[in-house]
Amino acid sequence: MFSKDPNEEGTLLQGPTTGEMAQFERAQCSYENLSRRFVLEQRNFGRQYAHIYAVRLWAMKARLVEAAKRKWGDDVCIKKLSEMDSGETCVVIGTLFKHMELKPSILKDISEEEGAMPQPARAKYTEDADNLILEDEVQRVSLEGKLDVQTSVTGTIVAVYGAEDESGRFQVKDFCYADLPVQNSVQSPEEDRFVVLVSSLGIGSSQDNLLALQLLVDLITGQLGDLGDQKSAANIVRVIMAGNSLNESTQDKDSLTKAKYLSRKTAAGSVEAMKVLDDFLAQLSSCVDVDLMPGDFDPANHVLPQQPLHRCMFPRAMKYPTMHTVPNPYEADVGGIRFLGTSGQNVDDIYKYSSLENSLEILEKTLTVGHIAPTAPDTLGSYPFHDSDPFILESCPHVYFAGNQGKFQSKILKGADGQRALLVTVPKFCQTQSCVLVNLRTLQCEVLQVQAAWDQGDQPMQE
Amino acid sequence: MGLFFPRKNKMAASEVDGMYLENLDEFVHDEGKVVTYKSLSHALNVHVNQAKQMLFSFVEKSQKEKKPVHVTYLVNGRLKTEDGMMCKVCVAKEGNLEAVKSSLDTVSSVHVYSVQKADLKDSNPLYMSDYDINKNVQLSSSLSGVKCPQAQPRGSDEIDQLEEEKRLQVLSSSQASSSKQPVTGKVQPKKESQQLKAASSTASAPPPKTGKAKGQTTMAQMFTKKATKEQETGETAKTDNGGKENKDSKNVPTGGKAKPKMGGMMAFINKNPTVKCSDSSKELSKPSEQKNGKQEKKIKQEENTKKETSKKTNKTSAKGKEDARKSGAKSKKIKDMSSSDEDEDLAPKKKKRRRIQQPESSSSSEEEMSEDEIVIPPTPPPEPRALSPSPPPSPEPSPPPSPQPDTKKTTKAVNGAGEKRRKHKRVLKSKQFVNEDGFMVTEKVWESESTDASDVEEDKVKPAKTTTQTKQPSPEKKKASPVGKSTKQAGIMSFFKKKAA
Repeated sequence: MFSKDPNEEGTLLQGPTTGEMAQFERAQCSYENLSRRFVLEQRNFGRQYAHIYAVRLWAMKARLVEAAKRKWGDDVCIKKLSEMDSGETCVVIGTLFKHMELKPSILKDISEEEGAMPQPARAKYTEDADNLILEDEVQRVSLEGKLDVQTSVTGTIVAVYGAEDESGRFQVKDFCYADLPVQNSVQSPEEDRFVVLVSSLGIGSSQDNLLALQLLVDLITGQLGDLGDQKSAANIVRVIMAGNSLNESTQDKDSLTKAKYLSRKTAAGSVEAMKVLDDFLAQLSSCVDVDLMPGDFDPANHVLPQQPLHRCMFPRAMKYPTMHTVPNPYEADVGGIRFLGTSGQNVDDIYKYSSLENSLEILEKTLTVGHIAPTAPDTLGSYPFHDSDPFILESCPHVYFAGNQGKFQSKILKGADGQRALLVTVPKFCQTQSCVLVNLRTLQCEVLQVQAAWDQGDQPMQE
Repeated sequence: MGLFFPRKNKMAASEVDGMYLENLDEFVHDEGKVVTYKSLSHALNVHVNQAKQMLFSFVEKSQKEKKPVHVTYLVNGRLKTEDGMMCKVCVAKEGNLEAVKSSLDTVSSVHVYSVQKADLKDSNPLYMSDYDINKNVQLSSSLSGVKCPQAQPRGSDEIDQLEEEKRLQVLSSSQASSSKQPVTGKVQPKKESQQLKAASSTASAPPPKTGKAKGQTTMAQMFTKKATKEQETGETAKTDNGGKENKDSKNVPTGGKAKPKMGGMMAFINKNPTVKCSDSSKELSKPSEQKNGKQEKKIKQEENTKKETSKKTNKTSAKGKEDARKSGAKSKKIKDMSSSDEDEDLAPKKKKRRRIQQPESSSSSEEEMSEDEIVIPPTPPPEPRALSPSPPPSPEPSPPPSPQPDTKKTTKAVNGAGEKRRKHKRVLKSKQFVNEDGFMVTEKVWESESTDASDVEEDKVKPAKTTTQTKQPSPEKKKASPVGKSTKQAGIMSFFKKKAA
């Protein structure tokens, strides 16, 4: 994008030209919001979480049977744990549970309250003693062998091939996950069309650089640059804001511990930040379609799926029909390209509970295991679904992204059936001043960085 | 606004040459402002690209004239990084411009971003100078290089509609059972009210037509109350407020139902009574306390009280009037707002019921409007008295129930504040009753905002008494009144049940 036609160069470094200035019309694309399954119809938190695992195993078992037969032959013996004889080589399908000593547990906290030093906050909760357990509908068995403990996470549905040894442990010779689900055929637009992925605007922090954000907005809305830039900007069909539009510091927890009369007249930190965000969104949505996803620090519910932010928070931006608040995770079809993504909580959580370091790797992992957020509801908050697990990948997206990651990375993942998915980790805008442009035609992406600050004490001004 | 330029219409070419340089010179040198391309574009109402060019020629001119200005540029280019190609958009100071350019592999565009007199230590002023301008989204988008035809701001009507739809969705999902009944009631009341209007117009001879209409409605409401109360009690146990409102609201709709049966009778009977009914709010309260004894006295007293109240309680009455009017106006508005929604509302909650029902009651807009106005204590009473001296006793019974509900309705339309007003109105009534007793009572009531239940109870009890008293004077009324009694009592019972629930 923003590659220029040299003929138009320099049109703005000259005296004013007369005549009407061109206005490019914003390109349009077909759009369909496919996030209905992430929107909660009712909110009943009285249920137990066991149903999710049961539903998940039930829903994915067929796909794993298929994958197992393809991998180990049609005549492979697929058994339940209860039917398995010791020493018999067979395939067992179940849910992984990773036993972790360091996993934070409220019960442990309470029982060790006396005398125990509080544990330092950790970036990761893994250690060598972790071990894997496979659970099927009625029984569980310890796993040993080929399945790597530290790259696996709780909640994954897996088929293991091997035999139970005499000590009662299952020796895994091989394993497989569910196949990548089928992908809709790509009907990419014929011309360059771009979708902007941006996350972590971080409004409301003490040292935010709003000029950078303003520049980004100006660029997208066709204020900045010359004719060529504006022509390119007109090809942006959509802006997806992948969460954390507000800074973490706006989540002021003091008010919970303070006496009410002390905090009666103090407004929440998020109020002012929300107004600023509304102003930016109003500018954006006056010129382009905007999808706003909630994130970890946004004033939304905490457990996944996060519900769309209420429109009352955006009195100005919501005047535009182009402003949309969407859930997290979010799935949509833009110009024939299916987008699926989260604000990054799923990736961050797996990062904590596995040895995987690279967020792109983790993102890929969630795609290969066929589940957006396998660690939910174990370590990642989740709504207690009981009749369906919306996080199971039903179809392979063309663009699969995770917001609020450390840096931009992307990769094309190719599936066995010709699926081709673009994986993107969206960097934090507040730290990198970067966002991602996805070209719908080529399914390539590139970074767009705005730089609004300069070092102090540069060369003196020339006269 | 960062810049207070005289705003001009689209500049003609000739104009462009001369004026903008002077303007810029003024802003930069005289006012010391940071002039960005955007603020200039807004100030002169020119396309952003044109503004960039203006800034450029201004920079050139000032360099020629040895008037140093500080310039920031915007550089747009591409850069090859380990992650692939990266688009980079930088704001650079003049001194940095070449360095920034050289850091990019390809430079696609450069233009002047801002001009200012002082050397900027950091980039914050660039944001602040455009801060207010950026709030003018409409103008920005009209001057930008990209237009988005599908991003037309919604009108307020449309937004209201959307909000209503969403609310309805939520309601319908949350409440399924109770909603249906009110709907049917709603539809009918309108028709009925219209019929009533027609009847009232035809039947009513003297000026108090409005009063008649009121009376009819009130009578109808009485009857309806009976029926409705029973229904209501059966339907749902509601909280105090909800119950009250429901009753009121339902009274209206059901009244519509009942009206067709009773309507003619009621209209005849009511004509006289209705005249007073307009005073009803005051009278109603009086009869309960004074107990019918001397209607003439009452009237005199009322007049006196009116005078007194008007004089003594100028403040209160005025307030009351204002409140009533305001509430009436608000309720009207609300009615208008909600009227469109009424049909749609399948499952309104208690609150919604209030709103919906109010609109319905209002749907017989003229009559009710008049009622509302009349309800306002001070103004209406004088007319009816003069008009109908003799019939006072009969009208009293019918009016008592109606006025209260009316006031409640009107007041309830406004949510939290409405309740307070509601109470205020009651206070006014009580003053009328209490003339003999003294004004203290009224004041007390006035102060106590939160005691809805007790007030309601009193009101209901009073009307019942009045009905009994009134029965004696007119046989026909007796017929009507007993029904009213039964209904009222039932209503009270239902009320308590609701509270208990």
